[in-house]
Amino acid sequence: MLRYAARRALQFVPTFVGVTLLVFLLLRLAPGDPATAEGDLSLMPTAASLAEWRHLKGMDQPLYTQYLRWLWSCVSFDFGTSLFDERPVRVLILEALPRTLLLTSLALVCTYALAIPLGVHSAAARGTKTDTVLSTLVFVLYSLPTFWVALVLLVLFGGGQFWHIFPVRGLSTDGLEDAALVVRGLDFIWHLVLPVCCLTYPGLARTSRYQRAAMLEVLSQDFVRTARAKGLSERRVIWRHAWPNALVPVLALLSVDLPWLVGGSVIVERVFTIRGMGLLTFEAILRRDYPVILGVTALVAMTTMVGMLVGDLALAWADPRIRYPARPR
Amino acid sequence: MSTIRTVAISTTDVFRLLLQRRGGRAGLPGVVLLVLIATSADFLASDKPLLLSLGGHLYVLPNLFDPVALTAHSNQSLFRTMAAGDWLVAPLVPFGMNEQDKDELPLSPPSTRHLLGTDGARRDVLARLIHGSRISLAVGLLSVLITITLGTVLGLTAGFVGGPIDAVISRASETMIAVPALFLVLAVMGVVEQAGVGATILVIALVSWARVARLVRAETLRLREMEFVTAAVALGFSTRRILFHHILPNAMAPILVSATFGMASAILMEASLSFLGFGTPDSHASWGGLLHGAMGSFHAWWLVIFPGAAIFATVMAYNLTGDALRDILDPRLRHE
Repeated sequence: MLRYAARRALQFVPTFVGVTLLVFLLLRLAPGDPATAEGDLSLMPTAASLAEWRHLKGMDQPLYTQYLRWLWSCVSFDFGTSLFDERPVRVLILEALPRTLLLTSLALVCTYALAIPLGVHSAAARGTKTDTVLSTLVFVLYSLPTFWVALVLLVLFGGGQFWHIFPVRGLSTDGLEDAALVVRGLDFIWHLVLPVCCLTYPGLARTSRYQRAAMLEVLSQDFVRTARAKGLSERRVIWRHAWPNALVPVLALLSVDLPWLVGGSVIVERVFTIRGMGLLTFEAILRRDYPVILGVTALVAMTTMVGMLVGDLALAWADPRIRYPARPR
Repeated sequence: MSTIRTVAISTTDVFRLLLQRRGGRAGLPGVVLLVLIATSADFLASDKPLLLSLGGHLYVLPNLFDPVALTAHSNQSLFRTMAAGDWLVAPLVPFGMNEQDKDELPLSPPSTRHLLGTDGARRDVLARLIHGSRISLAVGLLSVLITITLGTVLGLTAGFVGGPIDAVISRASETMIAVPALFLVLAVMGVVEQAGVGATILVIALVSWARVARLVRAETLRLREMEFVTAAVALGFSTRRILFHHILPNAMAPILVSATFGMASAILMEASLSFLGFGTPDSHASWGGLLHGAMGSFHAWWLVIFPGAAIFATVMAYNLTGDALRDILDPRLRHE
């Protein structure tokens, strides 16, 4: 098992180098230059000051030196220094990450808390009107573009022509810094409602469909018939006997969600002006602050691979055939 | 060990079966409607009339056959200046997508003059919506075409040839899947100066080929073991002939399904990009661009509701069609 894990982890090294090299080359070879993009230096830079600036940032060295240097900064979890902020990318990420994690983990909990009952219910009521209605509902939700939902929520509840119930931007109201803890806490929760809604609904379709399929498979097995024959209530058959056996494939989905937890949503954070990972990336892209873009990409790529590894290991643990590859015929 | 599970279905069968399913019945007409709107956009919404009799001269579809003759005129100017005896037949929406209506305020709500209101530059929202369908459709079709071609060729090669070539292609596609698509797309669009529709199409294809390649590779690995491929090898056919005449036709079904879902996701991605301010320039009407214009002016609900509804309906139509198509074509789901 340990050897399998090591082998799998080693395979990710070229993938990681591939991802970062790809993004690095795209950023550095594309026309357009951080020195001339929007920023302090765009105020009429002279050729000399530009050259000096590039020298200062190490951008006048050969590309492979730059990349290797960046890779080394990755190994030490430093990720280089932002071109404009002058702070290490690690610091910027550590500042943004908690906000994103808070939003995405709340949304993840909501998604699973809603999707699991939805899926179980659909499966238990297979072929009935309830099943059709629930399946259609999640299908419609799946096709709703996030940016539209976010904007519609803002138009409806953010003080346009309709109601002004929820705040439009950020995670706290200005001027409330000295208020009582309870007030600030409520204010904080109030700010979270709309963004968490926007992050919750897209995953519903996928998760509930997985749960439904897994449930259907379990429900067709003999032990479920036995449980019913014993005269157990349908509720008990479904939730106590069948459901625990149909939970594993759904929990396996969590490994796929890992990069999303860390990377967040550019669109939701942009619409609600929440300074998390998504907005950090978005602004870095606008300014061509490539160390920041690279740092975020590296982090998200790493978590993707950790997620894949965890998923693979869980599968291998459940199925020994995967651990020992078959001999070539 | 492998059993033949490929089922031959003709194109007419596919359409008949599609229309038998609820998803197909709802989705397919939506797809057709979008194509109709996109192709006839110039006749549905234009600043030039469809028919015009001016000073005894009859113009038929002047924006199509005689674009230079009426450069100085628009529906609105003709309405004002026409002499007695002149007449015109205006299109359903008598405004062009970039025409600024001087007689109307910017951001005016829906009215009989502008059915879906105007945007911040006094342009008719409905006209921009109608013409925006072209961008969505063009980006969807072209990027899916490139994605499918690239993914199919790479997947076939990796699956059939195997060895180091397979390893390289597999690692490369794993790499592409490891980066979140929107991150990569944004990063590329951000650094490409004056990115236009062409760049959007290429970038969407760049981030989507890997999934198709993996799908086709898996399908090729399955088909490679079948007797008819062994027979083709024994007959001494060239690798290219086996790949494109024997394996590809049998792998077409999943490719087609993934192309349909690919349309939905490409259209969504283009809209997301335009919404974030990258991609389609403002001179081309696009649905995402309309929503981008709505950011910051939340009282203008018509700028939010209608373009978003168009994106939603389109994505939904393709997803429904794709879902129904998968039910029909995927033999693994057939017996469920």
